[in-house]
Amino acid sequence: MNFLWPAFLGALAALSVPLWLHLLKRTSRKLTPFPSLDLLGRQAVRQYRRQLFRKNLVLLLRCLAIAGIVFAFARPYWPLEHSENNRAVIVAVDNSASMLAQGRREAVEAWLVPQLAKLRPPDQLGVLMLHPTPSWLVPLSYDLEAAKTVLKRLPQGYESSDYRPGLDVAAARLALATAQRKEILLAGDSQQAAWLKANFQRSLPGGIHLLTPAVPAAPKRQAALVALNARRGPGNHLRFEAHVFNGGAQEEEREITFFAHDQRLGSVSARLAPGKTAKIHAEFPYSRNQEALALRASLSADDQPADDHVYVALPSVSDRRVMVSPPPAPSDTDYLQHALLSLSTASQTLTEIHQHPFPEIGTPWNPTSVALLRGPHPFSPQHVRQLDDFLEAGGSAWIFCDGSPEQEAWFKKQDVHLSALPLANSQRTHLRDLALQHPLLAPFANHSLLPLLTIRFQQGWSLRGPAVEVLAQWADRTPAMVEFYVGKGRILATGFNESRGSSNFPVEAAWLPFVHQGILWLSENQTQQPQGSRVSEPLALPGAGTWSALDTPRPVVSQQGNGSITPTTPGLYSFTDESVVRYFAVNLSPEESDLSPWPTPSDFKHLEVEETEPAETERQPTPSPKDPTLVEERDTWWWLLLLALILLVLEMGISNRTYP
Amino acid sequence: MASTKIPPETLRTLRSSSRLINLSVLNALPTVALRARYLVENAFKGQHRSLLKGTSPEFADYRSYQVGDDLKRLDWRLYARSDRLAIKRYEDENQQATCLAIDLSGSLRYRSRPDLPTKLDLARTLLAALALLVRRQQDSLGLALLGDVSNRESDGILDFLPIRSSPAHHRALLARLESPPEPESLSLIRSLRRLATLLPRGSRIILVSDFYEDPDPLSAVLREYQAQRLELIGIQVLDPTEITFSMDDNGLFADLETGATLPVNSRAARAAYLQRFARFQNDLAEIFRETQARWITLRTDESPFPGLIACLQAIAPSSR
Repeated sequence: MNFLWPAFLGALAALSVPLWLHLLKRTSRKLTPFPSLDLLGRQAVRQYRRQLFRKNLVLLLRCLAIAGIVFAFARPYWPLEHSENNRAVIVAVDNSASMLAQGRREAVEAWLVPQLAKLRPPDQLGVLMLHPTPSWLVPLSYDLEAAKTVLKRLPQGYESSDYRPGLDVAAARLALATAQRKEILLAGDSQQAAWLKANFQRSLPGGIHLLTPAVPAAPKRQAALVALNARRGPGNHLRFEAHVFNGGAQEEEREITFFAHDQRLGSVSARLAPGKTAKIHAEFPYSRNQEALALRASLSADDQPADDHVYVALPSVSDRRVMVSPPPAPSDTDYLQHALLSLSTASQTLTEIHQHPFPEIGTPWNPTSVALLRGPHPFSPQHVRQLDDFLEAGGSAWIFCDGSPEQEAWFKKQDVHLSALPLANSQRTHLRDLALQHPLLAPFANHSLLPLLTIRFQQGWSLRGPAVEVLAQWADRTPAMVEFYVGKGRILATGFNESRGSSNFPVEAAWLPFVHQGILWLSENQTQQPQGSRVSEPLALPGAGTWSALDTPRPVVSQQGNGSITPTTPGLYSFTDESVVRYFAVNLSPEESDLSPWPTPSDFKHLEVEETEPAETERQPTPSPKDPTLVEERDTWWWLLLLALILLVLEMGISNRTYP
Repeated sequence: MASTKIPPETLRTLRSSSRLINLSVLNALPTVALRARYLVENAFKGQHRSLLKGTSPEFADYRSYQVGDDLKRLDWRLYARSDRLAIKRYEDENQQATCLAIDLSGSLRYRSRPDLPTKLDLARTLLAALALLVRRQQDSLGLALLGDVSNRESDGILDFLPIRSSPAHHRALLARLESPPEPESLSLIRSLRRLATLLPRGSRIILVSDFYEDPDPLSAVLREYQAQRLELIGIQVLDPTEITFSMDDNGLFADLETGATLPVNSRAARAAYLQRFARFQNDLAEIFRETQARWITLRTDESPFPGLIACLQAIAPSSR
């Protein structure tokens, strides 16, 4: 046994206090004369002996209590060197969707059981769930049974795989543990996608061993529905485009069935070439195709059932109307119109956006629309009344600032101060401090913010005001992108515009998704909603309401959503907000459909580095109070304090019944 | 039928006079004779000297008139004949033989504090004061010192002075009380039985002791006394500690009579002791009540005066 603060042991000298008091009060040896001992009787002898025993017991309890307190403050610990082969093991659980493939989970369990059976006290065991972010199911501890109990019910998930962050967390914890052997048991299928982001040149801390089960065989029959696009066709028809990937080794014939609100619409057969993605087109009549739709396509069963379904939700046709004000300089290329055109025609994977013509002067604006406003025209006295009415009624607007007096005057009326950035001719500025949690920018944060941060602006305007929420700042920390409300209307104001002379943004790759996401977010202020998301990605919700599963592969409990939700199970969901029902689709990440294992498992060994032999002086390092392992071992000091407390209570109890 | 008694007004005076007794002064006086005189003189300061007054049908002799004597008892015929003031004495007054007995056992030598007298000191002072008063009445007294020594045939009584009334006898009595011998042991029962054989039938015995004896034999002895018409007045002297057991001493307690030792934690043993002591006192009171003997308890931390008054009352024939 060692002590973390051995200097406290000097306080054992305090033991002399009760001993001294005891000796001081000890019965003197002088005889006390008394007229008649007959009246005291034999009972007095028994009482005397009982009191003597109690006094000695009180002394003992006092000494033990003091010793307990002193030892507790000295923080004793027992280094585990007494066990020559003790192990610290962390089981990293791959809860990705690929583990749902037939036989994979069973194979991992069969490999894990004998590994865990070798553990004996004082070995340590912890369980770390890898996805979506590493999280401890059971922290590394000596309680082997607790960890084993959790492992008997390995959590099932639909997450995307990425091993490296979890392995780093496990390795960092093991590096702090005191054990002869430190192991990470990777309870996963070593799917190729899971290792893609791993840098095998960067090894784990020294002395940590990575053990993996045998790489599973490639599935014989594996096809996946990786995407589903649905559009309303003419004449109450629904048009589908399903993307089917054949991960199997051979060509096969598969049947795809389409559903709308649990109503089977029909099936199509497709011949799928191995390793290829086929686009399957289908069209079915559906009388209620103008309403909001919850749609599913399902593939006939194979070795991986998790990716045999794909979901899509379509808003009502009355949603997501966009009206764009005319460009301020008609001679320039209208990059905004180009973006909108691309969104409505070029890609079927994006949410539908319907463009409507900008209203004439005097015509009221439809408040269920999103108005994209640029130049001075919409803020001219002829239009400004319609604009204000539109916003009051709940319409949303995106204002691209150009510093025109009309804009400036309108902003001033809303208590927003518009001022141009002091940029010289050759000077450029950029965005910074993006509000990553904001629904407008969260999708970028989930992938990469670099495209937004590398845009160079020749012109820019800052937007200051007491009621604005800043979404991004300029390099000089003035607001570059803000959100504020006028009446019920939501306004996104960007301190830049869509002209090429203002920035290179319109020709950058981020322009199109930025415009798309901006319109989607603004449209959520009305009765519109995004089409869907992936498992474990945050999904913006239009306010507070009840999130319920409509069609999911496993039961999902309804819950209250407020602003956003992160679904963990693919499927179709409804979100009920003040009796308005909206549908959402959540799909698996398509990478999980590629079940092929990492081709060179020998790479895993590159992560391991043999621990260098410590110098003689380093073998028994001075324990640091910040070492979490030692903190665990020092838990005894709490017990000592508790013991001292109990002894003191006992001492008080007996002392109160003991005469001096 | 004797009619001698202490007048109520005299008793009231005596009780109020007890406040004049300064215990520290009393205890500081070196000899028993001085303590007795201090007690009597202070108690009866300014009062009539004669305490026992009364008449009896059978005339015995004359004695000189003393201040305080009832004038009704003055023999006016003798005064007319001889011009001498004399009081008539009757059979009941001078025929009552009184023997003072004192327990000299070790337990009587106990005192819990140095400022207190031992129980034996109190007993000796009380008996000496009583002797002084009786001598002034020209009554006769005897003395028995109770105790045993192994080297002689004491048979329970170390020393015995027969009942006499001469001044020489009185001096001898005081001398015995001044320096009593120290006995090796004492069986109060045996001593009382022996004393009964030394006294004439109908004698009065004033016994000062702590009465630490088994109640049953003591009861038997008192019944024997009752049968022999021996009047016993028991004066129990106790130290306050014996009554309250308010002591903090722990360890070995030594019995002053037997020398036996006992390990005792005084605080722990207090409750049981007080219970036993109360039972003992009740038993003692019951024995004396049953045998129609008087029983008085005195504390060494209090004035002995109440005991003295009680003795005087007991000695008065009308009180029997």
